[in-house]
Amino acid sequence: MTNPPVRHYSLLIAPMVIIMGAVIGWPLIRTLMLSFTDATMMGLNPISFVGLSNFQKAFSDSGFISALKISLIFAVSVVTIEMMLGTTVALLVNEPFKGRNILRALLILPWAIPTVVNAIMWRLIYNPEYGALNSLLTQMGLIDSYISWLGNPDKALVAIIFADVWKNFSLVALIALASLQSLSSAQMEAAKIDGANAIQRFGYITLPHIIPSLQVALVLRIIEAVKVFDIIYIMTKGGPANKTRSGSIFVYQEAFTNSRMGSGAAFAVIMVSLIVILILFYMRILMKKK
Amino acid sequence: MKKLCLVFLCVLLSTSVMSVFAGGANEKPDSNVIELRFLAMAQAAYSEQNVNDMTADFMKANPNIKIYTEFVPYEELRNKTLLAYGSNNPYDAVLIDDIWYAEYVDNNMLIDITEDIPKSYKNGVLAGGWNFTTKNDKIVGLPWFLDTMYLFFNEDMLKKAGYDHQPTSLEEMVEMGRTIKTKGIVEYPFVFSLAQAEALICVYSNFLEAFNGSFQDDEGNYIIDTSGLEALNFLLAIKDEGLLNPNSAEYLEEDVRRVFSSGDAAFTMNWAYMYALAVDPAESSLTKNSVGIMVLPGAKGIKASAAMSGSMGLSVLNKTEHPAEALAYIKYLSSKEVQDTYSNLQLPVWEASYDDPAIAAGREMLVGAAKKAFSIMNVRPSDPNYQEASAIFQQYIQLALFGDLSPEEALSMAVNKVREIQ
Amino acid sequence: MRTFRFSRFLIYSAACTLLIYILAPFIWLVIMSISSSADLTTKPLQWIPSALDISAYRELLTMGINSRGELFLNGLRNSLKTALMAVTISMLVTIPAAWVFSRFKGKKNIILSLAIFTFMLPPVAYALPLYRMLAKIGWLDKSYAVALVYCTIILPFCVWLIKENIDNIPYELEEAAFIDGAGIFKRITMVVLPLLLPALGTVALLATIMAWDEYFYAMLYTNSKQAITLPVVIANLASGRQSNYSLIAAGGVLASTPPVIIGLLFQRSLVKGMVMGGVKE
Repeated sequence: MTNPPVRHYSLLIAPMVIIMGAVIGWPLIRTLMLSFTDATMMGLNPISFVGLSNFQKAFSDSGFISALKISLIFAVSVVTIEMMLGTTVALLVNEPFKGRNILRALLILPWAIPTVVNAIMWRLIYNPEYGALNSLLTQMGLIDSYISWLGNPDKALVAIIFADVWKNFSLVALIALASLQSLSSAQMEAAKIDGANAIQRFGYITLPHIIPSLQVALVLRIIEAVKVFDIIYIMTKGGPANKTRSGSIFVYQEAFTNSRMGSGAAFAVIMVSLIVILILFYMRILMKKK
Repeated sequence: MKKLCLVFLCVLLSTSVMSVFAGGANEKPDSNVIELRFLAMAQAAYSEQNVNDMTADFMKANPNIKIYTEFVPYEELRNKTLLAYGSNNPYDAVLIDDIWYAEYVDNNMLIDITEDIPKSYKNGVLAGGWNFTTKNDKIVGLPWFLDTMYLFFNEDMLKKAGYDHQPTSLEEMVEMGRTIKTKGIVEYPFVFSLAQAEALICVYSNFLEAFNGSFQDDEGNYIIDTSGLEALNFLLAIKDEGLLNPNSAEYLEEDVRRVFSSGDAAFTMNWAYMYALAVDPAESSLTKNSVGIMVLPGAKGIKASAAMSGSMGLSVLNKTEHPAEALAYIKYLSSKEVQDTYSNLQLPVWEASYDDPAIAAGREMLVGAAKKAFSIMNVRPSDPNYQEASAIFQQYIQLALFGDLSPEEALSMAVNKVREIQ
Repeated sequence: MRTFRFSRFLIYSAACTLLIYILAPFIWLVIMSISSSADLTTKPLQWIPSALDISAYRELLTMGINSRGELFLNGLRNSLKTALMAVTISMLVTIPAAWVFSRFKGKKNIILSLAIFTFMLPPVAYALPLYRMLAKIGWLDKSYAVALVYCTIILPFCVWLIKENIDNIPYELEEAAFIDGAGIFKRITMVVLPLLLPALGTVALLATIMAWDEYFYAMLYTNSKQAITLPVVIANLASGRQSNYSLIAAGGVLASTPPVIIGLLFQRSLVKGMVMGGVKE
């Protein structure tokens, strides 16, 4: 087969490269450059090179460290809960029962609701005075007095985690369900005849079958969760007492509110590196297993 | 399924192509028209609709000027102003909170309009207005509205508890709250906006003022760790006694308005806009006679009343190409006629308006409180780093309110942190 | 038999719980949107509104000059415009790029990996320099600029999924056309494209939902009614300005309607899109 020279085809990927490069590539390089300077958002004073001092500052900044911790706690919690809940739900709606199809169709509802709407919806539900949650729990006799969900430093992050889980568990469930549906029933029957009980069948047939799909969902969710900004920004803006301030929100505040582009950029660079290391590490484990 | 997708794709393509063309077609720049961009805030008063209506009137009178208004929430107003200015895409005129003037002037962003303010204009506006728009003896902005966090109280509840007068001191206010609680009239007599936001500092600073405390000394050093202790202890005391609504730590102005308007609190603090809404049957369950408004009383033996400014001004940014037109526009927005017309939720900055029976009609109590507040109003720190300092104070005051730190620890740690950034 | 019944019971009760869990929050949002503000600020809560109050919808959907309805409807239009532009541009860019990535493996796939890698980056890491760039060329507060930025969210996964699909199209089909003298353009449009349509539809739907959902860029890069998108309008509605719960809820319900309808109608192909590609690896 004869193909024309390859450089000819480079034109076909040029539009994509240009868009990605202009919107992300170049600004990212600028961020990297800025991270070694003392640039401010106003850009009034001449920018001077400050070497690694922004990075030194970052690692001694307790606020930044705790913001990274919050991102990590958030990511680990939401992803763990979403994976478990999503898989369970997928197994459930894979069983035959009346109304199963309706339930399957409705599964996509939480995922389809925009993040901003989800955040606002849960803020309304969590409202301590007129929110549905307190009213419901009191009427069911589960709590004696109304609880301030988003105003309590111990509960605010948990409340946000549950709001996020509601929206995103459905993604995991849908992916897992699609994978379950491709599981051949013949294999199951064979296992049954061989005398495998339900748990064995799950462990030796079902689980290995859906794990590849779940891994995809897991990577997608981890990446989105460590970057978290929108849901927190809308629900608490990082409060109370900075107990829900994630890494992204911290960087936003440093660069935009405190006008320190240089150190904001350094924080961002550190955060990006950590995310990349985390994901590559995960990928490596995945590859090794294979 | 395939067909559906196909149809969808076709619709998608055609609509988007259409919208691109439609977008391109309706913009015809006219070289004779001066275009100005004004950044304001999405808030209750003046509302977007009010500002847009004012602007439309101004453009009708000045057909050669076209003004594009943009509205953002308070939390983003300063960021967007600075961001646009730093990126050489500045607005011509902007709305500025009194606490930001120091920073904007420090960055040399504002046009000096001292020469453009006639004496009659200067004398006509309440003196409190010029306090925050004048920096280094230069006028850099026009006061647009003067405001403070007033004390709102539910007169019915006070009466039920056996009081026929307003509180005359903080101590009496707490006493009234205590009686209201013990008589079972309402569970939590006080509700304040103490979420991690500027609203917390606004509430706190009013109490600071009531105890005659101060953020800074005369040299601008933060001394709140000693001078602000009483105010913080006061908030903690009413919280620990169960008088303060425990949800206050997540509340902003609109939240406390709802709590108060639903009859779930006897006292709250909020800006003037709340008065009209608290007596509006569509927005509130309270009757007009039960809504009381006054300037926050001072601590006993220290002062009679206390008020901290939460005012805002309009300024022209010095990167504008049309300073004269921009100034004309903000002058129009803050003119007495316009302010009197739109005084429903926001009181005018003009002294003469307060003697106008039409302005005070039906809300003598609010106008009376405003007059008093404007004569004693103090301002939050004038510091180029205010925004960051405020965020630190918010965090540590909340930590004290949650009991994670003692008030002394919280305030001294906050002050140390603020010193680090200065 | 007994255990069988018991497991039936378990399944049905779990299904009911799931149904409530999925539906309750959103139904409550809908109820809030049609309640009066008095009903929504009583304690304990008035679960069923005392009277149907659709004033919130009326306010948001009435186009008065300088009214809230104007802002909301403009936001709706802008969201639609931005999403459609972003999806269209992405599709046009995706097809040739995915074709190259599929047909010419090797060095070029580093570019694809790099593109997918950008998904890991938090936008806040480069938002400021990007703002400066957009400001410099006067593209702030413009729907097309936001659409172009959205392309970077959509493109990596579009290109990846479409590439996987092209991989499944036998190269012999193209070769036949090549022998007949067809150029690249013809090969793609005549041979590959028709076979790709279902996948493109799926990807376009997913991309639309992604663009509709975006908040951060829109918050930074749009301000006025000529470009502001619905998520920003709604977030603003819920912060600061005087507004009541039913208005906020109504805004949320209206903003959710398009993606929810798309989701319910096209669930099967959407899920296929999500699973496609990744699993094969």
